[in-house]
This record gives sequence, C-alpha cells and structure tokens, in this order.
Amino acid sequence: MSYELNRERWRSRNYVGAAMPFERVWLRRGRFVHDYRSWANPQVRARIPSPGLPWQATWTPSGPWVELPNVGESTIEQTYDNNGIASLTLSVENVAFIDMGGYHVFDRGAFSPLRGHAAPGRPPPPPATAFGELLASPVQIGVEQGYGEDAAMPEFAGLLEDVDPSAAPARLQLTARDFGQVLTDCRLFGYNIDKTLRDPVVFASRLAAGVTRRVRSPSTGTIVRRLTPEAIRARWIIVEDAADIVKVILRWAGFKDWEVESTGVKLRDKLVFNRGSFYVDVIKKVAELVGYVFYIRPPETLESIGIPVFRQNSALVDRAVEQVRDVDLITGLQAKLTDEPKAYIIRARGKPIKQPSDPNAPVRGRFLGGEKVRRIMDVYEPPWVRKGRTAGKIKHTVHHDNMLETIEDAIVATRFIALAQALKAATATCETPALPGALYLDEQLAVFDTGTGMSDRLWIASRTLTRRGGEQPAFTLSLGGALVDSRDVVEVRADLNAALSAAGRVRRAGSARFFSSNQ
Amino acid sequence: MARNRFKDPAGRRASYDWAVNHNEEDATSFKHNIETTPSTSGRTLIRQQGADSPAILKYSGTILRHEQVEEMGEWFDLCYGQTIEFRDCSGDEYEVFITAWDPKKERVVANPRDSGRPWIWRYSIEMQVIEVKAGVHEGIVVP
Repeated sequence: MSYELNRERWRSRNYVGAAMPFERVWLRRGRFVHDYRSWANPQVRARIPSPGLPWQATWTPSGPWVELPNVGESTIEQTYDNNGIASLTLSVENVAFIDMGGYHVFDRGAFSPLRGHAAPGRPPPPPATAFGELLASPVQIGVEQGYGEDAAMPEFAGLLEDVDPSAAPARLQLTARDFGQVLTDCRLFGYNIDKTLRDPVVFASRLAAGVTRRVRSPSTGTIVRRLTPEAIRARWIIVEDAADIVKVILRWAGFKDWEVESTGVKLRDKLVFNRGSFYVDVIKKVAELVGYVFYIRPPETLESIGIPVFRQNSALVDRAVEQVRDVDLITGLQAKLTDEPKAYIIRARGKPIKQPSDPNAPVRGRFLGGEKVRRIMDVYEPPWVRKGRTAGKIKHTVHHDNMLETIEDAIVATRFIALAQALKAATATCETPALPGALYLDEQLAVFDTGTGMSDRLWIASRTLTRRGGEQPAFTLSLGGALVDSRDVVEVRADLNAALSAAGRVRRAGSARFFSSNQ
Repeated sequence: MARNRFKDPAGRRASYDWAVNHNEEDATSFKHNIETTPSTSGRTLIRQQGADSPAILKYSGTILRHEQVEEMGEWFDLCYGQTIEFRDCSGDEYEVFITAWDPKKERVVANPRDSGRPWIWRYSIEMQVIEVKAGVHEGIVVP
C-alpha cells in the first residue's frame, strides 16, 4: 500500500503538504544468536550433516525501538562494487533540545557516545545520556522514508559502524551498512557454520558426491545413488540446486527472508571453501558461475533485517520497468559511450583435450599461439566487429577456464563475455525525485529524454538516495547503470540466446560453463 | 502602555520589564519553504516542501539607562542554554531564545535619564520563536 501511495505522489511532482518528504530513523539494541532452531522460512533443499534442526543465526533485539532526532541529512548508497550492500550516512545535529515543561534547555553533545566515560585520574566528563550510550554500541538502524508520514516505508536496515563527532558545529556523522555486512565480514569458520562441519566447507550435488550402485533384485535392477566415503567423511553439504548453496549461506548469516531464484542447474563438481573465505565469497562464486546478480533489498517491515536477492541479471530479460520522461528528471540522462571495454575478438578456452590414440579419430580441441595443449575453444567475433562498427584495432580477449567442458560451454562463455563488454560500453546516469520502495539494483528504468535525444532502458547498477531536511530540502535518487537497449547489447543478447538454445540450456541457467541443466 | 517583559520559566531570574520599549520592529515572518527544481524538460517544476523557517522577532530602539543594557545582556547570556518567555507590549507571548543582541553607544550632548553618562545606546535584538503562546499569532505552529 505504501509503495502505491508513494508512487502516486511521486508521479505528481508536487511533494508538498501531506506528500512532503518524510524520514524517520530508528535505533535499537540487539545481537546475533547462533544456535540450532526450527526453520519455517523459505525452503532450503540442502542436506547438511547436522544433529537435527538447522544451524542458523538469528538477530535478537534486546531493547525497544528509539527514534533518533535531529537527523539533517541521510544518504543511502548501493552498488555492485560493494557486493550489493547498501551503506548509510547520517548527519545528526548533536544538540538535544530538552522540554522542561514550559521551556527548553539545550544540551550540546548530548548524543556523543564518549560522554559519561571517565578514565582513572581524569576530570569527570558531562554525564552520559541514553542516546550516547545507545550510539556507543553497534545498534540496529532502521530508516523509513516516504512522501508523507502515512507513506513511510523501510528503505534501510543495518548495523551502526562509525560515529564521528565534531565540535563546531556540534554534529555527529553516523555510518552504517545494511545487514549484508555479515556476509562480507564473517568467515566460514567456528559458529558461522554448522558446528558439526569441518574446514573446508564442501558443497556438492548428489551427482557429484555420489556413487551409483545397481542393486540386483529378482525382477528389476534398481539404481541407487549413495554418497562416496569421502563425502561422508568430510561432511559434504549436498544441495539440489546451485541456488541452495546461497540459501545455506544466508541462513547461517541470519537472514530469514530472501528472494533467491532457482538456477535450474546442478553442480557438476564440488565447490570447496576454506576458513579464509567470507560468506560473500561463496555467493559471488555461485553468482559468477550462473550469471546471476546479488544484492540486499530493504525489508518490507523493520522487524526484518533485509531481503537478499539472488537472481538472473535482469539486463538479460524484459522485466516490467518504471518509466520517466524528461519532465520527471532533475538531471537528464548523461550517457557515456566508449569503445574501451570492447574486444575485437573473444576466445574462451576450456579444459585440455587428450587426443585419442587412434590416428583416424577426429582431432578435438585447438591450439592457441605457443600453447602446447589443445583445449576446447570458441572464437567469437562480436557484432560490433561483424557489422563494421570498429576501426580495426585488434584487441584480444582470451578467457581460460578448465570448467568449460564442451564446445557449447565455450560458445556460451564467449557470448557472456561480449555481453559484459557491451554493458560496460554504454552506461548512463540520471537523477530523479526519490521513489521509495522501487528502483533498486538490477531493476530497469525506461528513460525518455528529449534533451539528449535518448530513449533507452537503464539497468540499475548503482543508486544513491539522498534525503536532506531543513529549509532547502532534497529527496532525490541518482541512478547509474548500463543502457540495455544499446545496439551492441541487443545484438549480443540475440547471439547469447541462440547459443543457449543451441546448447539445449534454458536461458535462466545463465553461464552454464560449470553446470549442466537438469531440465 | 505595557512594557515588554522577559520571564525565566526556570525561575532562576526575576522577570524583567523593559525600562524603555523598542521603537521599531521588523516583520515577523512565518514561512513555509517549498523548493522548486526545474525538470530537464524546462517545462515542469518539481516542488519539494521543506521545514518551515523559524519565526524571528527583530526589534530595535534606544536605551537611555545603563542598567537596562546590563539587564538585556544578562538575558541574552541566559539564552545560551535555555529558552525564555517574552511578552511584547501588545500582549503577544512567545517562547524564544535571544540569538543576537547588538547595543551600540552613541554620544549625545546630555543624557537626561543617566546624567553621569553623555551617551545613549542604539540597539537591535533578535529572538527566535520556539512557540507562540498567546496573542494575535496564536495557533501558528513554528518549527
């Protein structure tokens, strides 16, 4: 409901009166508790060798929500460069205006976390305040924003990290990151993983972890798949779908809600992560392998710690988009078109091919340059070369990956590489009034701008949401990303879809270089 | 005619009736702020309402007695850490804090109210309104 209300008011371009930009910042104490407990949330199709209930972290509040006053400006930034994790910066006037019943007194520095602490032998400082003590620990921060108080909805949920006080003017700068920080800061070790697991953590499909045995029966033979002794001894985690790896990680990290798309593919080999790996390393590995994106979306209520999203890159699909015209834009579409990322020719080289001893057998694999090993290889001439949109400067891209086992894998890989280059070659930024509840990473914004003559869709790869109070307010959203309707992207997408169809893979399987379809 | 009056709601200072009222006052401005930003089309405006401006009472006048200058300065100093009540000569009442106090000596041939000092004071004083408590502006909510 809040989103529809916000969207209706956003469309009006008049954010006054009841639709005036509104923001509220909440704080509360809490901590993560790690234990075995029942699980009633999204299904995780993984078999973990543990005593019974699944091991998980749970964010456990230990105090009530308290509203943080005096917030002058807030900025929420999110980009794939930060693993899709949002950061929040708050500027807070560090003066309390205390109602004494009929009059007010000012207390400078009232929110300072250092107040009240007297080191031995030092003069006593001003007394501690409740807010100061709250800000002295990594409390939970929730930010609600909207066009009007009745339309306020969560735009950030995270943990406080930095408090930087300055004296004149008395002001605090608070910095927080969303709960995705657990993914980037915590390693696969100790209580971060199921207590019964050992280092390293191994994920595998039943296919990769099993041995097939034929059990003879009088009438029919039955095929039974059992885990290999190594998989049992090393306590491998058996997952149905590659996306289940991500779900296992998110559950260990404390997330209860998520939007994780099944990949439709199974691991062909095991994935091994040692104790030096962070949670996010696992997610990035799976995302890279299947061509998915990952980011944290704000929660729908403040009781949730955020919604991790793991899904197919929407630059590949025609998703429903929000549309803006130049009458809605504060800063027009500023495009950057560059040839710098685009290769002249793209090669993907896969696993080495051992030649058969039979001299009459067909030769498989190819050499490249001085390499002495024949490998699976595809050579791709991107559309900007085929169609003469190049100056003939020969820039090579050669990608090596032993996980490419078939020529179809290599063909898909070269098209994915070309798509990544095309997306980097046509980028743009624009600024629009903020739209709470929408225009997150991996979404698309259709932009029509007569000033630049552009009508294109922007695939959002970075966003900065700024809200400033005071007499000169601002509630704006700066977006950056790739132009998915550029000629190069459209043509490479067509090639990629053809390659995926030829390989017999569903498109949503993404880069299938490590996986085979289970369709 | 009633005197302007300062009152300390905390009770630390006795109320003070100005010996001489102000001569002039600036308009008391209550303002809703609406920021207008042109869209890139140049044909539409994007309007965003911000916080209201604080209402400011700005008075100026002449002080003849040294004691009044001292008293006004002490009320200004009190406002470093708290608000006070101000009632003007027409009966309008506000919760305020004094943000500026600018007395300036001006030489005269003779000061009949303070014979030992051949000067008077021209001054201006600014007070930010926290709340309109009574009077003609009662009901207006100030930030």
